[in-house]
Amino acid sequence: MYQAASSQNILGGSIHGNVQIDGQFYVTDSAIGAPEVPEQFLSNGFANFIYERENFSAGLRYENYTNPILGFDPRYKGNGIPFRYLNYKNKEIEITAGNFYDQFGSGLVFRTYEERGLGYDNAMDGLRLKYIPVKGVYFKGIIGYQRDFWTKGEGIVRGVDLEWNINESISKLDSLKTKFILGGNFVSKYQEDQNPVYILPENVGSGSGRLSVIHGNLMLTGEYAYKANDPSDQNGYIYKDGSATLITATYADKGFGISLGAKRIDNMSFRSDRDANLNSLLINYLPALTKNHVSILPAHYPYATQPNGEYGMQGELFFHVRPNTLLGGKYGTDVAVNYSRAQAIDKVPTGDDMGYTSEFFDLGEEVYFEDFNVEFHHKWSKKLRQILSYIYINYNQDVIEGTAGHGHVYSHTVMLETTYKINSKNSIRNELQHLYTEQDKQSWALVLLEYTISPRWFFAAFDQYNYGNNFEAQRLHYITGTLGYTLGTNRFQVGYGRQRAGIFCVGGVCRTVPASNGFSFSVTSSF
Amino acid sequence: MKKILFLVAAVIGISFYACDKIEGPTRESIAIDTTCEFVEDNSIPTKKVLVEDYTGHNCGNCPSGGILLNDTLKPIYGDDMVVISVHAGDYANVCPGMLTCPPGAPLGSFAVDYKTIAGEDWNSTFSILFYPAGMIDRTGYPGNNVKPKSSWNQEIQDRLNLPAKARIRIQNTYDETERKVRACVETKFMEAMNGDYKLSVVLTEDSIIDWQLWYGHQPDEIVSDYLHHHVLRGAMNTSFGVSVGSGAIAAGTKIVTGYSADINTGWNEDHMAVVAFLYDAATFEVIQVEEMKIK
Repeated sequence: MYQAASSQNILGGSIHGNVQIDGQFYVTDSAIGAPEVPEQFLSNGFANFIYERENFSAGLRYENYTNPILGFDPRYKGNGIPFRYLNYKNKEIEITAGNFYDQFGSGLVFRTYEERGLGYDNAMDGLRLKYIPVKGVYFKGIIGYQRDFWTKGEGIVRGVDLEWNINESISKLDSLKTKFILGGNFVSKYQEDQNPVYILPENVGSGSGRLSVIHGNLMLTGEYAYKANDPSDQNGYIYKDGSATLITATYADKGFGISLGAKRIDNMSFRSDRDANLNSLLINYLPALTKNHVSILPAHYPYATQPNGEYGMQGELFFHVRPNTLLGGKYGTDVAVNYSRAQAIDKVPTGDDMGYTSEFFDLGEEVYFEDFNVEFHHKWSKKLRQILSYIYINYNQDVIEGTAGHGHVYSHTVMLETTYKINSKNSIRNELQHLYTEQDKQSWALVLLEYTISPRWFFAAFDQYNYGNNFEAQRLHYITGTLGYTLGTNRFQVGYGRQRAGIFCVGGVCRTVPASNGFSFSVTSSF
Repeated sequence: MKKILFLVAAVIGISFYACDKIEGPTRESIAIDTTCEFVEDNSIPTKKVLVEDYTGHNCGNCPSGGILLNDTLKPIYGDDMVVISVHAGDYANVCPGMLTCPPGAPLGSFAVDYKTIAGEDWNSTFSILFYPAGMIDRTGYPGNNVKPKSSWNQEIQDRLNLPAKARIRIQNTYDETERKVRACVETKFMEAMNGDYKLSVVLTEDSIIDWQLWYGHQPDEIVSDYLHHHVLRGAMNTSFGVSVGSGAIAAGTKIVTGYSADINTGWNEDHMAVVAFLYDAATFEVIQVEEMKIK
């Protein structure tokens, strides 16, 4: 069924790409609410093929959702080639016809990308021109429709972006230690007004200006975006304009790093179809500005950006405690402290279709999310390493999951990760996690064991136990076992176990994950 | 430099031309039919009560509210109780595409959008945060307008015991070919009143069979053939109606207005009704309500 491939030379050029197949056999498990799956087996897969010859490239991606794995949008059901393109580029100009992903600045106004884990794909289908008229000046122009599962959104998206790297373009400034990059863009969507009640703007414009200043190890970036009136399903058909501000500062030196970020989002959902919802047809990207926890228990409560309005801030500090000190031990200790918070903006209802007014610096009362976490990475010996973490999360379940009546979940998680390198090929890793909360499904404990035989094999098993659930019948074990094998650029993985229901987020964009039980496999290969 | 100036000019030029700013009214104007006529009738009305049930097909707790209204209370109060089921808020979003779609819901289920612009406007104005939420004649606004299910029966009785301060008559004409309904509404103030009064005229559809999440239902909580009653389909004269009187209004004052609306092909005209209600624009309290099938 599966055959590993390698790069091929064809017509003087080369073909390369990658393939992935994920599949799951489902078992009905009423204890965890895993639904019956009539197909019993569901699968997501894709294959990228890219041909390159000198300045020319062409590519396509075949996708196969027969039928989509639970938790992925059922509108993906089917198979075909939703992504294909032709591209030509030289030193001055690049032209793309067909599908492409791109981003203006930090994406507050325009970002198309694919995140397979989320089932997120808002690729453009149209034309893109990139042009470098003089050294240090970068122009992009795009026009087209966006992917909407197996169709395209009805709105046309067109935009231009201009970036000026001042030091690059002015030779006298090239040697300056301080670098300046200035940018601006404008994106407009067109969608016909067929609404019998509202008089809707058919052309909705949005633009932003940005500045980056880099001085040695210090980097400051800021972007302000504005969006004109854009009544939509997401904002309840209000005519208020929107805005987004994002400011970040980072400084890193040997053994020390700090990053600070702040944002304000006000009515900034921007989609090429005003009636679309959730992850469909988003033109822009609003970052979450919270830590994306990858460990299992803290990932129970991720944050989803609130495009209708939020304040967000995040601070992160890294430092290395020198060896031969009380905390540093023989090899030193790395410490990371992170705090983030998202909160409502203050909104004063206007009582008409403008919706509300909001002063820039006025905070709303409702806290959406708060996360304080600290990590200690310590190497005890050449063979033994440990990471000790504490994570506090205040999770506004109603706001983040779009439900009502749940309120806030306050969780405290402690984790200890231990890696022991037995010899140059064999290592064993253990995670102990405990999440305490009085809300939602109450407390959980987790034990994970992973054994790796480099470079080919790994075996892992973990048990999430919802031991603190107020309902005795729900005090369940979610046990999962995984086996992986890597051969060159090919990786095979099989697993069996229970998946708890929840939400899964990447960068503030989320999807629901239903409970499931069964056998899964994954095959990836590149060539 | 010329190249850069050209690009900057292009960016600015596109910015100005590819954006529509709606400065004036945000809603299409409502055509009021002034040709409606009613035969003289001096009958004395009784007070009727408007009960709004804010719900959503993905709200697993909502069927309990609908069942109480339609299976228990409606048989008791009959035509004196007019029900509107308002599908609004996140629980009324369609699937797929919503974060709260029931896990395991088959493709194609929960796909019909019962949300309406009027319903969303009401949902927002009346700060509906929990579902099902009931309002009885929209009393108690602001702050106490959402009534707990346990009090609905008593609240309804209390309202029905009030004297009727107004009478509403409805005459519907339905054009089968054009699928268009014309609703003429006569509002008569039975006693002298002082204030600002508005008349809302909306369309509802009864007995829609479609999906509903229903917690505790056996054998499945995802129900494919749930009977949805009195579903709001839209407003005929904007979300909050039109003014029919302000200031001092003499007893016996009559205002006749008429409105038209298209009946979508997906709606069953045999189950559709026009609901008209008169309310105090300052408090939203409903003075009188009437319901009439369109055919």
